[in-house]
Amino acid sequence: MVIDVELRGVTKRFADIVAVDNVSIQILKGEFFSLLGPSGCGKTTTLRTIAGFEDPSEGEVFISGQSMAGVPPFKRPTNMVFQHLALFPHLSVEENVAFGLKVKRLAKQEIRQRASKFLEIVRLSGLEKRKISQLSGGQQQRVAIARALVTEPTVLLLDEPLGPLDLRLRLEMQEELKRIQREVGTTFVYVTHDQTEALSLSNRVAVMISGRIEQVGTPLEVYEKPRNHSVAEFMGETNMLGGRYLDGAVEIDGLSVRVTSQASKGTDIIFSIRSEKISIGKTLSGPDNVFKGTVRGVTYRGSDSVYDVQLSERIIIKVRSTNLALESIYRVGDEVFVGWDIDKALLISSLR
Amino acid sequence: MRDKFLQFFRRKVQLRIFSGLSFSLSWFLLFLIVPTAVIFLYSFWRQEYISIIPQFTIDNYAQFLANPIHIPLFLRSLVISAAVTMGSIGLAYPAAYFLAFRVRKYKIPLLLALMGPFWTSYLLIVYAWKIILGYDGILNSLLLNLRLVEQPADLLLYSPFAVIITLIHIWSPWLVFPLYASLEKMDKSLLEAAMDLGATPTQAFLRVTLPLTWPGLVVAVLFVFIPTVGEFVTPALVGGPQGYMYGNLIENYFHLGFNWPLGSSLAFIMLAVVMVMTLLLLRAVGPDKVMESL
Repeated sequence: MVIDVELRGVTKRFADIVAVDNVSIQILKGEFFSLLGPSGCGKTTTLRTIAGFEDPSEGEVFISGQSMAGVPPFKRPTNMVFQHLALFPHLSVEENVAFGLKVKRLAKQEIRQRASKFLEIVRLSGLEKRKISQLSGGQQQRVAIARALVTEPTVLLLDEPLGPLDLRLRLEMQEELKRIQREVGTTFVYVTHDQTEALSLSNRVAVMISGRIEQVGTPLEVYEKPRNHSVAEFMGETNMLGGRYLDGAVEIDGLSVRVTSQASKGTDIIFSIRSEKISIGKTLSGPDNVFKGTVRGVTYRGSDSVYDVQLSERIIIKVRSTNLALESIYRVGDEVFVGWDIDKALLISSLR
Repeated sequence: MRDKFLQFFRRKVQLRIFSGLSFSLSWFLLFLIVPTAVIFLYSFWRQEYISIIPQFTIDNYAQFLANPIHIPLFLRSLVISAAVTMGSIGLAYPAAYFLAFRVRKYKIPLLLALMGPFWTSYLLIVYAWKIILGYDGILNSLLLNLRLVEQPADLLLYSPFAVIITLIHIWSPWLVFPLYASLEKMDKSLLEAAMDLGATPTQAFLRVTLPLTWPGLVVAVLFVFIPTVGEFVTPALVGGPQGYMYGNLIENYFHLGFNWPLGSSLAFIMLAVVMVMTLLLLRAVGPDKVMESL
């Protein structure tokens, strides 16, 4: 396995704010790698450090094994698709795509050939002469991607490029990004705050929270096996329950919740149970833990609904349920049973 | 009573709208159209001793072509004006660039400081350059003290060079504003994008910044070129014979020669040439883009 990008202990401070805190990651060749985190977590700064727009306060960036210390952006084998695209308004579609080739002073013939090849890859053939302002949002995205890929960089950096698109177009572009990445085989480093996007596109995801990388893994790993409290809380919709562990169960506000745990007797533990792993029904048998509760809130979302179910005085849990039939949509005040198998709950080792 | 009041009120509003329109219209009429028309009219009249005879003739325009001093002086004015324009841009563009891209704090005070020359009288600036460039002037004593010259250079003052330097000093601050406006408006991430794609800072400037601030540059050119072509005060004071300009010629026809018709035709020819050049320049860039940059 070849490592394309490596960050070693990269820290970036702005005045007294630590934007990126001791980040070390290795990104493999040909990988679709996502940096996922809430806004302001330092993911864009990390990306800009790789591109060379920011110098790390500490640590080093390596691309293809070469240290990038002191290497300006225009000498790095990275290209970026900017958040607001930053397409050149005074140039046509073709001229935008050809920009990187022109500044490298390639022969006219070759510029034309390569520009048209990449316009074909992003499916914009025929729009070469258009002005940027005459394109739709999705087409502009494609120009930005073609412009960044045409010089065949080692790494393509994408800074939330799909943010301003509407949902339908965003899904379409996600598919396109996957296809383009498969076709060109370039390493993609993708920054997003949208978990669905990160999980569905990436080979591996790094979850970044307040400047730190909390977990790196496959989409399945970071979602199903969050390493700590922050990741579990950030990913998906989850219920955090905590109490004293006694003999295979946890006592929480009068409820005895059965869990699988290697924790020693008498210690305080926290576990997380995702809203979609909980079953809900008028009657319920089967799950290891079944509790009776009252629906206190309903968020109807078309394909599914999210219920706030009160189990005891202090415990309200979120339950997500697919809207299979009209009868299985509950209303506020309904008495329901909720339940889950013990292996669905994740033990979060650290108590915050 | 109420109706009367409403009627009065309505009339007042109508009056105001009408007067608002007519104010700008009459302003144009009074200070632009009428004087130009008067000059145009005069240029077709005739001069006899000290009286002007309102009789149509195109003799004045024929004289413009016939007198061998007119056209070379006109060309000299265009060249001096072009040199002033380029020199002013050379000074103002870096200043505007610095203000727009590098300065984060105190932008407004710095911009205001650039207006310093406006607070000094025009004549004072010209006389200051007389002192600097003169035979016993500051520049000559400096050159002498540095032993760069044996004796004071007498080419500094009373030359086209002196006219150009002085006019650059007077006009370059004017340019900072349109240039600053177009640079400030430019999306800075475009420069990052250019650098990211492999453009060196110079390439990024030539391929992105310059074309995007082109309309502002055109406005700047017009700001300086138009008023300096007809310049006559500065050349009269620091120009000497070699710095004598077309504007001086017109002034002399009006003043000393008392030949208003000929002076008018010369002025009108200048107006027409500058206007055509302006229109061509605006058309090359696209008039709406130039308006945007204002």
